[in-house]
Amino acid sequence: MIVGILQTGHANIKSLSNTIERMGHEVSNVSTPQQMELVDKLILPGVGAFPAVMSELLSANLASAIVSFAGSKPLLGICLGMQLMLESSKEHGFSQGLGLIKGSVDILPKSLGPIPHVGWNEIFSEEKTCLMTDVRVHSNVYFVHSYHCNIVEDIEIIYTDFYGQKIVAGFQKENIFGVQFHPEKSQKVGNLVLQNFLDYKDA
Amino acid sequence: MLKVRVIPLLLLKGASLVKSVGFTDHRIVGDAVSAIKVFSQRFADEMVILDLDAAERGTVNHNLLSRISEFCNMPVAFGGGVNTLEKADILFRSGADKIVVNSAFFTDLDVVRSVINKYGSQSIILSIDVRLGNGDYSVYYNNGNTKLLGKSLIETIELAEQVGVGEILVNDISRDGMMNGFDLELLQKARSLVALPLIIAGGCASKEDFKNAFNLGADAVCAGSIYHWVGESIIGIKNYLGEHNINVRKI
Repeated sequence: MIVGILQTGHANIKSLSNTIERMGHEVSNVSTPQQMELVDKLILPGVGAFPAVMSELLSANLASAIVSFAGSKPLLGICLGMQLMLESSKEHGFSQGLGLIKGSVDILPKSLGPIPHVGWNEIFSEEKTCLMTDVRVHSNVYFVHSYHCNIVEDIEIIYTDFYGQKIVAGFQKENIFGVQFHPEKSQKVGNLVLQNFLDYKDA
Repeated sequence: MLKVRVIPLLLLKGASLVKSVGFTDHRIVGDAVSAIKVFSQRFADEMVILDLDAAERGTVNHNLLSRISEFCNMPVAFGGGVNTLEKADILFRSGADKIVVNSAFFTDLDVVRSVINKYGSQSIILSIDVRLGNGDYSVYYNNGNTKLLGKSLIETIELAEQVGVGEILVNDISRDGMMNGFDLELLQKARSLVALPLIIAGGCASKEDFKNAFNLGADAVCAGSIYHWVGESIIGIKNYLGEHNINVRKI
């Protein structure tokens, strides 16, 4: 299987691609729509500010390519990569997202605790999402973000607790997956989550 | 609930890992890559790596960082000599999850602003290096060599929050490598001023020091000497913290 990792110029993909290669898959760096057509699964990685990365995706014609990729093949967004899948974000103003998931990206509630939400926190879900297969409930994973996803459609959601408020830590909508945390930085639990995505087969 | 973080603070000179006292008197304690390999297998929550020669050399050590990110499965914050957006770009591309800035914040704030614009607030840690003198805390930059004039610790913190850095690392030069415990007064003062996640460094010598720091509200504790000279293990420290009801990630 060939796993594509989208190159945005902002992303730190080294540890991600090394982890996937260690799991026995070929990794292909994707920076054009043509390269995207050649991969079986695609990962949108995580570093950057929303407007800067989104405008890069638009100018490279990658935004529409990702949307059509998501129509037929498995897609995983990590951190910012997941946030980009929503309809819009308020980071540094207002920008449109890819619109694959209904909802918006908002700043974390400042009144509850320090922002950014940085460090290890527990994940849990009410549904049995396949990303969580074999992951113990309340396992710790690594987060580093100031914005979070407000999802307004009924899909399978993984949560974490931000100073008493449930916030989105991940989701699955058919073949579209997102995680707010960094699986590639979350040691054993993170590897398991990535493995679950790589093992996913369309029903 | 979010866990407090136990972070090894690793100082580089060339390809060597060094340990300092009062930001000077650097002694080589090992080879950087092999030491970092060990820490990455021992369930540290994160790593802060500072390249002490970078400013003098004028380049960032991205080759070393690339080698580290090949095996490192935990978050890495990398600092030293980041005084242009291009250098930050190189570090992020080479595997840094966050970068640590110090001198640039005091000499070229626009660089810090441009990093925040491109990578987001969460990607940048400001190291505020302080020294106690005449009953007050002064801020230093340039590897602790230059005293910041015209701005107090409070004003520095206010500016940091206004500019939008993600985390603040308060690094106590007076206690660096002294292993005489944290300056708890400094910690309390910093905690009362900083709304951002607060990391502290300088003086950690025992498991009790970690406990005291977390009980006073530190979000993360950086330490170096305790691992190099005392041989304390991260697992031992975390077990101790867990037994004392500190909200730490258990293994």
